[in-house]
Amino acid sequence: MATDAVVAVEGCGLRKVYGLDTPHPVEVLQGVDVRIRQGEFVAIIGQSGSGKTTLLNLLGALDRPTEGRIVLSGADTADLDDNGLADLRNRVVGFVFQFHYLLPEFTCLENALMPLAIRHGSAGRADAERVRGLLNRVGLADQMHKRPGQMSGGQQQRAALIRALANSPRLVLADEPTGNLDARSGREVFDLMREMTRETGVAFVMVTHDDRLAQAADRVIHVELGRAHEHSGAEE
Amino acid sequence: MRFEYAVATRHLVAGKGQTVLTVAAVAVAVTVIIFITSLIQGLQKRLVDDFIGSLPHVTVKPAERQPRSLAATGARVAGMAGTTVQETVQRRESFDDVEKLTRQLAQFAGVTAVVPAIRGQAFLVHGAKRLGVSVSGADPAKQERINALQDDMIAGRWLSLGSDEIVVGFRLADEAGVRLGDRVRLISSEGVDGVFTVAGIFDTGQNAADLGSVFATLRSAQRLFRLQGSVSSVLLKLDDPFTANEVADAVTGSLHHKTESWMREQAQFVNGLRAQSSSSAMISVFALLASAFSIAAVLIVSVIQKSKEIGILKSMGARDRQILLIFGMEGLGIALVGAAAGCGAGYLFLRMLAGVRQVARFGRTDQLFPISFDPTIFLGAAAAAVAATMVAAVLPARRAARMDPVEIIHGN
Ligand SMILES: Nc1ncnc2c1ncn2[C@@H]1O[C@H](COP(=O)(O)OP(=O)(O)OP(=O)(O)O)[C@@H](O)[C@H]1O
Ligand SMILES: [Mg+2]
Repeated sequence: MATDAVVAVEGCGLRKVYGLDTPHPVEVLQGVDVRIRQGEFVAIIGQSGSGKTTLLNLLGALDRPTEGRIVLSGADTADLDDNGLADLRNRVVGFVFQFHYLLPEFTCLENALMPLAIRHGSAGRADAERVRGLLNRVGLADQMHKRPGQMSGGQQQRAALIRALANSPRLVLADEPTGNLDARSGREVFDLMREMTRETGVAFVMVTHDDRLAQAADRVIHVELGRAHEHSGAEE
Repeated sequence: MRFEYAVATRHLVAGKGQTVLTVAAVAVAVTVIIFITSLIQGLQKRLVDDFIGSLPHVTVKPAERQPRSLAATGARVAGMAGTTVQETVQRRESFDDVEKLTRQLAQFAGVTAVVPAIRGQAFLVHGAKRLGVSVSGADPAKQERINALQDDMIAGRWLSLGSDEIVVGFRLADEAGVRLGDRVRLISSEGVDGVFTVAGIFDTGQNAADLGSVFATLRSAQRLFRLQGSVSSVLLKLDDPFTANEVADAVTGSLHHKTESWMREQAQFVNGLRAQSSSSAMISVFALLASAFSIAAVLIVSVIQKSKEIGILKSMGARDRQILLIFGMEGLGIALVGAAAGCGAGYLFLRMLAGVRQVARFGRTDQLFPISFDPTIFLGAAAAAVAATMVAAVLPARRAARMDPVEIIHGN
């Protein structure tokens, strides 16, 4: 792994405490350092409740750390207000969730173009063409104009993956993207994610409970007791 | 903007039942407001026309020259007939320079007619019948501006009345056994008497007038009440009857004459109108409140239902303001479509009611519901409903804008 590659996101000394204004605050992250580089495919593993989603949200500028720094695509998130964070997310981050969350009132193609619509009002012709190509690439050529309700879970998750890539982001964050799929379509989606990472040079971080998928990542970060330990994966 | 518009319209189209429900809530409120306001306004216009139609809006009388105690006058003549006392006091005052006063009064803003007149009491004698009547003396063409008697004539003529002629109400004619062309005697409270031909008979629909009123020319009245060349009052008609108090006060202020405004004389009636207007306003307000509450409730439910969508939109970089705009536009869409539908329904409804006829006097038919089609009522109802809907939409929209995507995404 090239250590001099461009850093997509870096977190230093990340602490996250929930419920600070309650009698029983929970310190979920107690000082985590992570660095994700361009073109890397990183898996995050850990027990339920260990703070994987929390870490992912911090890296994607969806949430702010209680303490510590996040530098995302060269920008220190502490310097940005909420609108600044929203714009940063729009430009450099793509999220994929376990429950795809496609908007049910829009077609597959319209959903995939949503990040562009948020930024520009509507997607330009060139962008639309590129996203169409990506949807073809993941086998959704005949699903473009269907509503999410008419698509299978695997198809929806592939559409959500393309939506995360639509803005040509630096970083894609996927929280248990295969957790809601059967083994076969889970594997399909995973393979597509790996391929897209390779093709687009994006940094890809995936939270998973599936050890076999984690083993196929470039690196594995194990979140445990509020800290993160590095494993290097893909050793076979 | 295109993005927010697209999401808002998709939400409205996809949320069929909810959308129809909220649009209907706005439409019903608008229809109710248009209907109740138009009906009340029409009724009031008819009431006011019927009621003040026969009244001067302002009556100008000479100010009493020196303060005099009515009680003292009354005491002196205690035991005599009450009307005589009244007349004795009234007769003292009159306007001598009628032309000048007429010119002066015509200058006041809103005055549309100035009618010099004499009002007095008399006995009408026909054969053995002797009935107390109130005599109004004025130039018929001018008097017509005050109470449009011509429309009420059921026999004979009025506008070309001669100085030895009078017109009487049909009840009075019945009571006195008088027919068109008969000659009757009038004996005034001044003790003057004269013989007149009954040239016309009218039916105003108001018992008091039909039983107790006699109209004569100004000249006849001047003779009967010993007011040669002068008049006892000047009657004013205004373009807006509801400015009567202001005009009356202005006349008193600058000319120092005594004035009577119909609004003060008929305070009960005016209060009745006010009470009617405020109950129609209350009904409108409650209709708006009911519709606003139901819209707020439906929108809050829809925002909660869509919290996952809101979370994902925010994770993709949608700003709070964009989310606010989406739900604000949904409210606006509901408001505009609902207001338009309500105006349409209100119009049809009024059309229907305006078509209902009732039988009126002399075989004529009349509108049962006097509906006024006033575009300002439609615009006002639509604007009020749009405003109320937007207020109702603000709370849900702000709630949507403030949703924390982290909590939404963690919460599954
Ligand atoms: N908004 C919140 N307020 C309070 N506590 C929270 C909040 N979000 C998460 N937590 C707590 O923080 C801890 C870490 O949550 P997180 O969702 O990051 O875990 P996770 O590793 O993603 O778990 P899972 O594998 O079940 O998804 C949990 O104990 C959770 O209850
Ligand atoms: Mg999680």
